Order: sequence, then structure tokens, then C-alpha cells
Amino acid sequence: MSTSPVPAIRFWLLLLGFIAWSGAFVLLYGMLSVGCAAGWHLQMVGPMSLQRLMLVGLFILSLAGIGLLTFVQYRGWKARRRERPAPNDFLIAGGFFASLAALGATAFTFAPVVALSPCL
Amino acid sequence: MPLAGCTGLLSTLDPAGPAAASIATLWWVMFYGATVLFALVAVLLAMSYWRSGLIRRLTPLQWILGLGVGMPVVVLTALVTTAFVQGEGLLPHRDGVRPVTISVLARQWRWEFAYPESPGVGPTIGVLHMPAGVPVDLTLESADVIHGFWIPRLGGKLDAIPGHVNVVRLLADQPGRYHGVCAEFCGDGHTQMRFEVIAHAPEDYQAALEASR
Amino acid sequence: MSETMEQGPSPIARHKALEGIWGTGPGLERLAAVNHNILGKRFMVAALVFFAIGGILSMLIRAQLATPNSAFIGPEIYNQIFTMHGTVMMFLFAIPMFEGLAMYLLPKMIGARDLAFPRLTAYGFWCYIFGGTILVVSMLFGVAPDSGWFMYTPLSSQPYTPGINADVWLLGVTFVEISAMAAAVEIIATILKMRAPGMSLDRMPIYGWYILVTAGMMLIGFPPLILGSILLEMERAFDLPFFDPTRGGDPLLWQHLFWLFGHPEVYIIFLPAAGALSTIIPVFARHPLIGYRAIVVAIIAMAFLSFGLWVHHMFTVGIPHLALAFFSAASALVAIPTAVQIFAWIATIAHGRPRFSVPMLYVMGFFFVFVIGGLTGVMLAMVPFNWQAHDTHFVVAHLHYVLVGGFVFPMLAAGYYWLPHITGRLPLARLSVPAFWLIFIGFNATFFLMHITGLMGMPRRIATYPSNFGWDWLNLLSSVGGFILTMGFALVLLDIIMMFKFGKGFRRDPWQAGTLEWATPTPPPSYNFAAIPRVTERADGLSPRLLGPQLARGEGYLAHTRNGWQETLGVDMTTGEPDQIIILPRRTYLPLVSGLVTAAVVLCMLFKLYWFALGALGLLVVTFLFWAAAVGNKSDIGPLPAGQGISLPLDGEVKGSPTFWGVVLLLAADATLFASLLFGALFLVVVAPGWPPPALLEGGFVPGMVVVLAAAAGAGLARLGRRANAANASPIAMQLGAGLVQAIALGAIFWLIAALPDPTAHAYSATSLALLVYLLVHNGIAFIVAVHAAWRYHAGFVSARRATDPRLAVLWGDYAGFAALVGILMLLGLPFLATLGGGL
Ligand code: HEM
Ligand SMILES: [Cu+2]
Ligand SMILES: [Cu+2]
Repeated sequence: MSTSPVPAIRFWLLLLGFIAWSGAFVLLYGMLSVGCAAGWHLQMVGPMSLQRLMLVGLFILSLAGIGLLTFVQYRGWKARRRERPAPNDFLIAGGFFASLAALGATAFTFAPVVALSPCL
Repeated sequence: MPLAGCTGLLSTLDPAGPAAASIATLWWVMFYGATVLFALVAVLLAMSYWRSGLIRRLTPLQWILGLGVGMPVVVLTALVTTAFVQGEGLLPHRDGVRPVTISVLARQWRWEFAYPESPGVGPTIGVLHMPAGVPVDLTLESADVIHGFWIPRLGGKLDAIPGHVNVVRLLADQPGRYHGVCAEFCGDGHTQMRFEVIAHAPEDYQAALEASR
Repeated sequence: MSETMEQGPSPIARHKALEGIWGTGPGLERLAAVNHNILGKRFMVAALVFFAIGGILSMLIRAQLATPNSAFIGPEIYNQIFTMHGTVMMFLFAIPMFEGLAMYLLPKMIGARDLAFPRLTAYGFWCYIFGGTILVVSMLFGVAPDSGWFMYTPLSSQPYTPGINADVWLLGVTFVEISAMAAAVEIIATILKMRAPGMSLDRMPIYGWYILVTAGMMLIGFPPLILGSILLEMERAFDLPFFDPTRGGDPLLWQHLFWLFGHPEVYIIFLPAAGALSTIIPVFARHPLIGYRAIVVAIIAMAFLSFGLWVHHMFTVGIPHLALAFFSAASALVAIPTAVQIFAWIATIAHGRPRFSVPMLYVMGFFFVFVIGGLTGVMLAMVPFNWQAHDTHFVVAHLHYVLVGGFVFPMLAAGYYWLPHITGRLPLARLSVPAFWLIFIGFNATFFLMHITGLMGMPRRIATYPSNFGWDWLNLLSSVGGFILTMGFALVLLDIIMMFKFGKGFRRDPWQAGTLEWATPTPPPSYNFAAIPRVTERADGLSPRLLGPQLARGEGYLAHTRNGWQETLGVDMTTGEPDQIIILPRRTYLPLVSGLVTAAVVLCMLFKLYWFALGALGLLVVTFLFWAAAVGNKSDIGPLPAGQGISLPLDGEVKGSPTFWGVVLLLAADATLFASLLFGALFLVVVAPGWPPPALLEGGFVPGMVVVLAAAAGAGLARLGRRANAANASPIAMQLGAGLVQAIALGAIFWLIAALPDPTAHAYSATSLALLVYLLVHNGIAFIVAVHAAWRYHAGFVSARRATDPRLAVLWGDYAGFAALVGILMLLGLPFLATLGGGL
């Protein structure tokens, strides 16, 4: 019956970016607590503590991951725009913008890892 | 300042120490900022009804990306950064500072203050003695439920939670009497769970502690 | 089915035929109602009654606080009053109110004849009413909850609240929560599967998006609180120390679980109201909503962000500054999607030809009040300021600006806008305007001043105050404002009564709206639409005045009646192309019976009759089996004409039926509950004092492996059963086999429970016990579902085409297998982590 030009899975496109943001949140907040409990903030690795090194690493990883996702969705959106408009194109465009917003949110929420006191 | 009349024994806008003072400044900045933003929305809303010609030139993109996203991003980035820097300054950092330590034990429904640096003194119940002009670290513990330790004129509050030890740093600029309350609801006696703070000139502090014995 | 069916009888005859099938009988038969029109209204009326109760309580609060040293009520009573005020307003007014409105409107807006699971609607309603009644009645006996609406432990634990006050809250609210979960599941299933043909997702009216996102948030947001409530009730009832810091528990775990629900909760309340605004504003601006797509992205962003800021209620509990910063930044960020919506609405007005009307008056009130609440919200998100303002009347002011501004004002707008739909009568503007001004002025007088009282150091939840803090005048004026506000609400009530009595009737669509709900007759018949329309553009720019009569003439899908079936269309989730005819269950007393039995379970728990509670729980399962027994066909029917020249299969004969999706959604919520439990276990290991525990589980490996393998075998056998069934063979052997291995898993779980060290001694063993009970419940359900599927086949309800039962057995088998694997891993990993925990 379904002559769907856009498969049902596209609905998830809208959510992907922020699901990734949530994942980054859980990861960073969880590891922060673990690091404080384990005393990683007292172990120095060169100029910074092990704790900060880990957090900054995870931060960069999250940015890269969500950045990649956004880029892929951007390409999909570009490609789609060259074709004839179809119902639910919006899911593709909206998905890209949602991921872009999630990327911005990731930068905004987790940027404090570079400076603030991790365990005080 | 329109609310400058807000003095009072428990007023956060009548600060008596650097922590409370810096937060009061933050409040005033946010208050004026919020007033401006509120006025902006109110004016746009009024114009949308009665003078829409003027603002119709804005495209939907400008409304949404400019006013909806761009403006808040700028304002919030500035605000959040300020608050982070300020918050960092209020933490009980140990580098270069030698605070006086006082332990606080909260229980239903009273406050007990002990002075580990002056053996044999206290605990004083319902009255906190502290030196003025020096940073004081208060270690908060609870014997039963959660309580909130708060001396509004000196600085922010922190909870006393059973099983945890929290540290709040406060400093009173001047000797004098201040007032504190329990901020976290803790049962029938919550309302009455207030305490008094006496900040002594540093040279009188030890003598006052001895006297409170 | 012949051509005559397509043309059909006269509108009147068609109406009679449809009403005969969909309608609810008179008298006591009303208790059997499952129709969304009736239940939506019942939800809203009940919510208003609770609003009145909450309002009276708030008046008592304001009377008490009007003057210093007040001796009107003592702290024991005052604590019950503010706790009940908050609880009633949040759980018994706000949530049921928007649920009721959504239940009433949503099917009409998207072109369906009812919600996906009408009996569930009714069951949810009874849970709400009975749970709410338990809460309110407890006040009459003076044993109402008194630990504040967020019930912090240890204050709410057994030693500090020995009476049943806290049990009333935990059990009553969880009972009411069932209705919220039910509503969430069925709203999502309805929106995704039951839109009008042609209504692809991007043609959905914006209200649909708002409610879809809200329901999704409820699905994820409520389970943490349900879990927290269960754990706390277990602590109170059986001394399992999840939150007791002297035995390896942590009061902060409760705060995390509560606010993990509690913050999203305020967005769950705001979004449906914003959805109403996004629907109403374009109508009165006479301009399509600007930024439809931006708004969809904004509300999705909002939904996610709102799950990342719960700790802003916990800025003073002593969490590291960096962690606070994450939550502070996320709290600030959530202002952006809000701003997007605010400016999109203003832009819509600016670009249109706005007219004023009573709903618009309340919209203006919303802008004024809500923007202030949003701004103070950003202030409170700043950590240093929060350290001062937290737990003061500044927060009381903020939360009312947000809740009243973001919910009550929009709901009043929605009320004036949609009441004509419900009553078929137009409002008389005479009282409406003065009522608005009383509410607006009264509200601001009450709450604006509380910002100042709060900044002047007045903590919240204090029963009285001495005169020397300078709060006297502010409090007195607040109280005066409160009474002005109440007069305003009384006037609104009077206005509505007048409207019922003297309002003028109208033909159709009095506001020249563009959404489908106005294409029904008003008041609407039980079946909404005599025929279901095809939608070829975004469904907020339609012409109900033209469409309505066409549908009444039967020009559309399913314009006939057959076999006494309640038929509506099912569509592909994204494209909205029809793919099935859904037959909905008819009126029945079963929901009421199940509701009563659930009430029995709750009351037995409340009065500590635990064995009786267990018995009642068994009975409850039996009543649910009766629900299933009432649906299904005993032979394959194949595609049937659905009107407009197309033929479609019945929902019982397709893969993606609403029932199937309903169970998937339920499992999503269930998995969130499980995740919260796993989070709780890890949290205790890392953060709680008093670890490592004195004794650890020993010899758990063998029974643990038995559980995992048996559950995996159960999942596999359920799949084999489905495969056999698809190949026209009997699945009975496999399904009974699945039941058998699930029973083995249950046995091994009991073995593990017996092997656990004393669960009252330390939170470690209590948490392990909770994990095992979770598995017990799920392997138990998988057992029942598998055996039930075999029985359904035996009874002739299942064939290769009619395969819903075997499919559900696969779903539950898979989930139980997954839960067993993760749960046992956690169980066996905990002793290892626990010893590390000492070093951590
Ligand atoms: C009808 C006008 C209302 C008035 C005059 C009012 C008044 C108050 C006051 C004075 C308090 C503070 C009690 C205290 O801290 O001692 C309070 C608390 C609260 N109110 Fe209201 N309120 C009203 C409506 C609402 C509405 C509509 C909602 C929600 C939809 C609501 C939700 C709450 C909540 C959640 C609390 C916190 C309770 C607690 O601390 O446990 N209120 N209200
Ligand atoms: Cu207290
Ligand atoms: Cu919040």
C-alpha cells in the first residue's frame, strides 16, 4: 500500500542530533562524577589534571561526532534540494537544522570543561 | 536603584560581605537587562497590533534567526560566561588562602556550631561566632534530614545533607550581628530554624569564643 | 459492498446509524463510556474541580501569610496545605487538563474518529479519579502528604514521617501517573497512525506536533518518578535503604530521580499550552503561522534540552561547579527555542490583519506574564544568583509566572476559543473582559511582589514570620492580590455558566479557523466525522465551512457502517497514505472494573495489607486478559472497501497496527524505567557514602546464566512461534515452550533472590533485589504473553494474517531477554564495582 517517497525512518532524522547531544551529556556528566570519585583531578598529566584531559577529550569527541552527523545531514539536504520537491522533504531539512542546533548546544553546554573547577 | 529600599536583616540586596555583594551586582545587571528585553518584546507586540507597517519589513528569517536565535545567543553567552567566572570566585579554593574552619551540624530543628581550631570551645547552639574580615569555611553536615544553611547578607546558601559534607566560604566585611535561616524545608520546626551570626573583630574573636564556653 | 454504500443514505440516517454504534447509553451506562469526546470532557471537568481545590488551598496559604506572627494555622497543617496545593496543581490539575483537551481535540484535528485505545482512555480516567480522590480525601482525615511537593528524603522517609502521609503521596501520585502514561502511549499511537489520508507529517496542524512531542516527553519523563516513588515506597514499607545514607543509600538519588521527571514536567505542561497558542494566534491574526518548520525544530530542541537541566533544582546540594555549569548552560539554552516561538507568534500577528477578541486578550496576558517568568528563569539558571534565590519566595514567584503565564492564561484563551465547539454556543463577551482584568491584575499583584520578598530573604514553605524582616507589607499586598485573582476566576466560572445558558448557537466554524475540528457538527457527535476527508495541504489552512457539509453528506472515506464496527482509518506514519481500517473496541465496563481493582491494590498497599495487595494485583492481570479476549476475529477477512475506491485490510491483519505500536511505546517507557534503575545503582556505587557493602552476592553466576539463557531461549522460541504461524503452521508448541523456559527463568530469579545478602542491611543488596524484581516482572509478563498467544491461536483468533498476538509475544520475549541480559550483567557486576567503590 505504501508508495512512500520518504521511508518512515526519516522521522528519526529530526531527533538524531539531539539524541547524540543527550549521549554526550550522559557521557560527560557520568565521567565527571567517576573522575571526582576516583581522584583523577589530583593526578597531573603535564599542565592539566587527568580529569580535565579526559573531559576535554570527550568534549572534542562529542563535537566531532555531532559535527560529522550534521555534515552528513547537510549533504543529504543539499542533494535533496536539487531534486523535485516531495512531501516530507521537511524531515530532511528539519533534520539538518536540528542537528546543527544540537551541535551548537554541544559547544555551548560543554565548553566549561576547559576552565571550571571539575571537583569543587 | 528602584529597589534600594530593600534593606533588611535577611536582605540579599543589602550585602555585608564580598560574596553577597558580587551576587547582588549580578542581580542588578540581570534586572536591568531583563527590563530592556521585556520592553523589547512588549514594544514589538504592541507594534504588531498598532504599527505593524514598521516591523513588517522584517522577513520571517529575521524574526526567527535574528531575534529568536541570534539575539539570545549573544546575550546568554555573555551572561553565562560572567556567571561562571563569578561562581569560580565564590568557591572555597585553598590556594593562597588560609580560611578559618567552623563545623556546622544541622538537626531538627537547630544549628550547632563547633570550632575545631579552638579546642574546648562550643558547640554553640543557635549562635555562630566568626571573625570579620577573614574568609571562613563552614563545613556543613546534618544529623537527620536535609537543611539549608543560609546567611543572606553574607552569601549564597548550601545544603546540609546527611551522609555528605559540604563546604561554603563566607566573609563578613564588618564586625556585627547577622541573621541566618534554614532554607530547605525540614519539617514542622522549619519556620523557626533560624540562627544568629556574630562577626567579631579578628582581635576579639578568640576572646569571644572563650566567653561563649 | 456495493455502489449504494458509497453514496449511502441521507445525512440524518447516516448520523443515526453511526451514533447507534459509537454512542454511549444513558444512565448508569455512562460508566461504560470509552469515547474520547466524553472522556476528554470528563478529564477537563475533573481537572477544573481539582483546580478549585488547589485554589482554595492557595487562598488558605495567602490568608496565613498575610500578616506576621499569624496564628491562623499551625505548621503541621500548613505543611499539608502547601504540599497538597503544589501536588494538586501539578498532578491533578495541569497534566489532566491538557490531556483532556488533547484527547478531545486531537482526533478531530487530525481527522480520526477516536483515539487509538479508547478503553485505555477510560482506564486512565478512572486511575486519575481514584488516585486524585485518595489524595484529596487524605486531607479530610488530616493525614495528607506534608513533605513538600517534591517529597525530599529523608524527611519523607519512615523515621521522619512515620504516619501514612508520605505513602498517600507516593501511592496516590503513582496511581494518577498511570493515566499519564496511558495518555502518552495512546496519543503518540493516534498521531502517528490515525491521521486523515494525505496528511503527511509536514501537513499536520502544528498542535499535532506539540502534542506528539509532549507525549514523547511524558513517555521518557514519567518513568524516573514512577521508579523513584516505587523505591521510596519500598524503603518505607519494607525498610530497603535506597535513600538512607547510614546504610549505603543516598538522599540525593531521590532528588535526581525526582527532578529528572520534575523539570521536563514543566515543559510537558507548557508545550500543549504553546500548541494551543500556535493554533489560536494565526486565526486571530488572519495569517498562517510564521515559521511552522522552525517551530517544529524548536520544540524538538526544547524537548531534549529540558531533559538536560534537572540539576538546576539542585544547585545548592554541593555538586562540583563544572557539573553545575553543564546544567546552567543547558538551562540558559532552553530560552532560545522559547524565544523562537515567541518571535514567530509576534511575527504572525505583525504580518497579519489582527483582530481582538476574548481569547486574544488572554494571549496578550500570556505574553506579558510568561516573558517575565522566562526572564527570571534565566536569572535562576545562573549558579551564583541561584545560591541566593533558591528556596525563597523569588522561586515561588518565578514558578507561578511560568506555570500561570505558560499554562493557565493559554488555557483560558483555549477555553474561550474551543468552548463553542464543545457547547455549540458562542460566548457573551460581557463578563469576560472584566474577569480578564481581575485575573491579570490580581495575578501580578500576588506574585510580582514575591520576587521582592524572596530577594529580601523570605524562604519558601515557612508557616509564619516575625515582623522584623521587612516583609509585612509585601505579604499583605500579595494576599490582597490573591483574593482579586480568585474573584477573577469566579467571574470566569460565572461567564461560562452564562454561556451555557444564554450563548447563541452558530452554524459552523465561528472563528473562521482552518483546522479540521471545526468541520465537525457542534457539539460534535460521538464519531466526529460522518466521512473521513482527504487532506491535500497543510491542515491548518482548510475551509471547515465547506468541508463540514461535504463530510456530513458522506463524501469521504468510511462513510458507511457495517457489522456494527467502530471503524476509522489507519495510515502510514510519515506519508499519511491509508494502509488499514482500524476497528476500535466499543463501550464496556472493563476499564471501570480494572480501575477499581487497581484502586484495591493501591489501598491495600496504603493500609499495609501486602498479601491482599498481591492478590488484587493477580486479579488485575486477569481483568486485563479479559480486555484482550474481547477483540479480534475468528476468520480472515481480507481487504474491505474503505470508500473513495480503495480497499484496505483490517488492523488485525497488518503488521503495523496501533496495538503493535502501542506496545512498542509502552516498552520504550519501560526501558526508561529500567535505565533509571541502572542509573540509580551506578549512582549509589559512585556517590553514596557507606560503600563497600558488608556482604556481597555469592554463587550468583550459575543461576544468573540460567536466567539469561532461559530468557534468550524464550525470545527465540517466541520468534520461532511467529515464523511457524506465518507459514500457516501451529505456533502452540513453540509458544508453550517459550512459556516453559520463562518459567525456568523465574525459578532462577527466585534462587538469586534467596542468595542475596539481607536487603535491609545495605543499599547494595536492596538495589540488587530491585533489579531482580524488575526481571521477575518482565519474565513473568513474557510468560503470560507467550501462553496467552498460544491460547489465542487455540481459540481461533490467530492465523498467518491475523498475527498480532504472536507478534506481541515476540516483542515481549525480545524485551524480557534484553532486560535479563542487562539486568544480570549489572547484578553480577555490582559486587565487583562495589569493592572498587570503596576506592572510588
Ligand atoms: C490560583 C492562584 C495561586 C496562588 C494564589 C498560589 C499561591 C502559592 C503560594 C503562596 C505558594 C508558596 C507556599 C509556600 O512556599 O509556603 C505556592 C506554591 C506552589 N504553587 Fe501555587 N498558587 C496559585 C496557583 C498555582 C498554579 C496554577 C500552580 C500550577 C499549575 C501552582 C503550583 C504551585 C507549586 C508547585 C507550589 C510549590 C509547593 C511546594 O512548595 O511544595 N500554583 N502557591
Ligand atoms: Cu532545617
Ligand atoms: Cu527546572
